[in-house]
Amino acid sequence: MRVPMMITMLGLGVLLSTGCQNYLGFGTGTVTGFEISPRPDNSLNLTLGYNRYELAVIPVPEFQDAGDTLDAYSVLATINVESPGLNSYDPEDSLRITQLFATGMAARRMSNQPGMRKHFAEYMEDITKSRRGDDEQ
Amino acid sequence: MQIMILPSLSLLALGSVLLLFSGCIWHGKKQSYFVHPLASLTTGDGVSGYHELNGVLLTLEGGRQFGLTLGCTSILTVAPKEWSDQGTCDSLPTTRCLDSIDVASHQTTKRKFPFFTVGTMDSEPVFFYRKSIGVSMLLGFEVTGIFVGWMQRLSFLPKDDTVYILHFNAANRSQTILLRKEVTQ
Repeated sequence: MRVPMMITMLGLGVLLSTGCQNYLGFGTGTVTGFEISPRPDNSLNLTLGYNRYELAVIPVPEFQDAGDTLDAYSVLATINVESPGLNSYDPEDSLRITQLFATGMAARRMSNQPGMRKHFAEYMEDITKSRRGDDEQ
Repeated sequence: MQIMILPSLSLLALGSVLLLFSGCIWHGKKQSYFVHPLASLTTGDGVSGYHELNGVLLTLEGGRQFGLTLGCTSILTVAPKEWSDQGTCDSLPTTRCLDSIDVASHQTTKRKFPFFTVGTMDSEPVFFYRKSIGVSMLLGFEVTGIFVGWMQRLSFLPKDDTVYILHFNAANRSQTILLRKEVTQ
């Protein structure tokens, strides 16, 4: 009985220790059942039942200020996530993601381009229009 | 005495069956190695470098991502292609250009492999998707946790100083578009 307990404790320790990694990322997750996983803030996530999330992690480097040639994790992104509801049985109704993701100096360069500014303005206009449509319905 | 032996024998038999039909995946930097008697691998090359493994029973993973899954699992790994190679849109990568990309040219091949195969990509993968039904214990930068039941995870881990355009549909995964454009100073 002691050995499974020790293995479980060791596994949980390893799980918690891996939450310290410093990387930039975007993710979505869904679980129906049981889940134990580390959170980015090193606490433990316990789920029993149903849970879903959309997450973007943008770490800030310690002791590093951004300059003309040095970047501190700049990100420029448009992320469109369409996810089916819990009671959806339509096979066409699946998880869909369309995104533009620019990192570092690429994000800074692109944010200064007139074409990209226009793209973002049009994108925001599309979102506003679709929201207005939803409100009217 | 007989009562003690019978459960031990059935456990041994169950363990042997699991070991016999268990599969292993080694996730390398640009290459993945698959040893799995009960699996199929779909590979694609065109609008993204792509491979997807569908396995059943016991699947063990190592390398970039460690894992143990008992049940059904589907593991998708996608590496980006160069934006400039598409040549159908203007120089500015935006999601509006996705419509002009010819997804039909994306060649995918599906094969059932009896024992061993290698999946090679041109560049390091940055997009990962997996779903499983059963019990999973996973450890790595892609996903970490213990899962029992149905699980779906998607991770996008971009490199620095790069622009990515991604289109992904879980119902039509072989048509995943992932393009990149490096922006130098």
